[in-house]
Amino acid sequence: MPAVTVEDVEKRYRGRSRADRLRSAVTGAEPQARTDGAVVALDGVSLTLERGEFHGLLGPNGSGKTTLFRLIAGLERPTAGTISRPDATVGYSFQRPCFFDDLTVRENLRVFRSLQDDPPAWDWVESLIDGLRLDPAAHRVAGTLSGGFSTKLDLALGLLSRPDVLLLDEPLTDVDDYSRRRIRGFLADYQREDRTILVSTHNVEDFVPVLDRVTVILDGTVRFDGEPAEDALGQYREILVG
Amino acid sequence: MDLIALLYKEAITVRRNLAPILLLVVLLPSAFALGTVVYQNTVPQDIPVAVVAADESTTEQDIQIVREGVSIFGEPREYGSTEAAVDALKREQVYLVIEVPGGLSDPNSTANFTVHADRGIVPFHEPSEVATDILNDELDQLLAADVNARLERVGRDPSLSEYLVPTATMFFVVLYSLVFLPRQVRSERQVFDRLRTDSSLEAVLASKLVVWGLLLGVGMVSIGAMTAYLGYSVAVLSPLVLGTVALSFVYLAATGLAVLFAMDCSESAIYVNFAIAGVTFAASSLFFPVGFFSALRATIARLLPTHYSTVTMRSGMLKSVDPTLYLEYVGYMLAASVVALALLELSLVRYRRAA
Repeated sequence: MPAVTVEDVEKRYRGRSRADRLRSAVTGAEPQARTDGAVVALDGVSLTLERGEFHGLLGPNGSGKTTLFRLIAGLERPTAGTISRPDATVGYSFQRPCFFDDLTVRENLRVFRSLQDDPPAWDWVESLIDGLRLDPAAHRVAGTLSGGFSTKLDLALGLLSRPDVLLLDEPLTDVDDYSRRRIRGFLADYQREDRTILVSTHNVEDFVPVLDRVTVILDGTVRFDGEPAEDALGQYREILVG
Repeated sequence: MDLIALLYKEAITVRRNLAPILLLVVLLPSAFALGTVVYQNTVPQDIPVAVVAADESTTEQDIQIVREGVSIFGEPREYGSTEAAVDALKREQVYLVIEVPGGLSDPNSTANFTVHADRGIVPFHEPSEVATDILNDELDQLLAADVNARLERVGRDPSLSEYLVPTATMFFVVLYSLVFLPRQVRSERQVFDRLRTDSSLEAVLASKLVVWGLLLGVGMVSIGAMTAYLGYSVAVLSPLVLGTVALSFVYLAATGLAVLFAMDCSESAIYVNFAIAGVTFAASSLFFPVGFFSALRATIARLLPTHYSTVTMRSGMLKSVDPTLYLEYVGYMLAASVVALALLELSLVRYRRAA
């Protein structure tokens, strides 16, 4: 049974009201097109995430990737279509850092660890701090972190519950090359048979070596869904050019 | 030119934030101006006044004549006994109690009226004397008997400074609960998505209410310490006062948070809450007795739970009263808390659905 199934999902927003602009500003999800005054962010999107799969969701900025993530995480409801994730726990690393600015890195991890139904052992938190190279900033107030450390803290928070399905929305933004290698290695170790990772990126080469499957999304519709080619960048460019 | 470029930038900022700015420059000042509507008279004309028979010799006709005389400066209400009327006086349901003697139509007798007023309502000291004089004159013209109305004050006599302590406390509680707490919650809105995946907004808000409610307790201790330093005789930390503050905090904070989430945690919600606080200050009769300025004001005040909070808090701080006298008011506050929490839940449901 797949970890997540997305069937013919459509997501529309009403017009470009202030609320819509606020939502876009908060979520980073850019609307795609207008029909009858509505903004269509996703249009008939179908997708299957198999258990144990490292799945890439590729597309340029504003293609609908973040909207799809929010739907899978249950933060928004689709206008039409269905999303099922039987018995899967979901972790989410957001595109925009989503943590308490006035707590330190460790305090954020401690608070969100305590919020879990089944809090993981502190060893796991330590391994996140070490594996994602957060230790230099562990005692710094989160609101003062650089972009790279903010991204890594958000990634650690997404991984905190050891979720069955891990949603990573642009998880390497502002991260230095050394840390990128650490993160990729950490995620490769994390992905075991029963764990599914869906990573969204507009930078194809970031994750291609570890991806089992790729979905390319453009203007709210799926343009490709299959295995990545050896020349993944060329394949991606071809799909975008159409 | 730097200035032109910056003015252009400001114009864009204004356009992008039109809703909160309109609230700031239209709704807020309008609310304050609207607040003046409730101040219609400069002398008390509609204050509720209890009319009660002094003994068994008082007839229904005597009561009716006195009701007519009272209607010149107040709104007469009949009570079955002096004790019930004085209880109403303590609850600020009335501000004067007039004991009507019998034999008002006997030209050879003297009708001795006793007028009770509460010393605790300091702004009503002089008006109560004026009201007694008016009553004397009016009834003397209406009645065959000679009229002698005597003012008798009940309760302890706080200074104006002491009288203002519950008013100031209520100001603080309203601003803290209705404006400050929602603003603090809004400052963490960027974490709501993660909190929604790992917990629930309800749990988050419950923790806020607990922590900020306890901190409000520290605020009450500060008020108590300051009034003790000033030598005031005010029971800031009495159980009745603390219970009133706790319930007021719950319904005000829940209302403020309901507005916040109903408006998608926008900055405009803070301005709306500020406007609600302004209207609350103007309409709740926090300082003057209800009906002091207008009947309209009395009607509005009695619709607001903040009025009952103020009266209960004032009584708990300034008067040595039996707390059970205020059970009805505590009931209003409890009901307001339940309604406000229900509204908050509805606004959270709407917030999640709108996402």
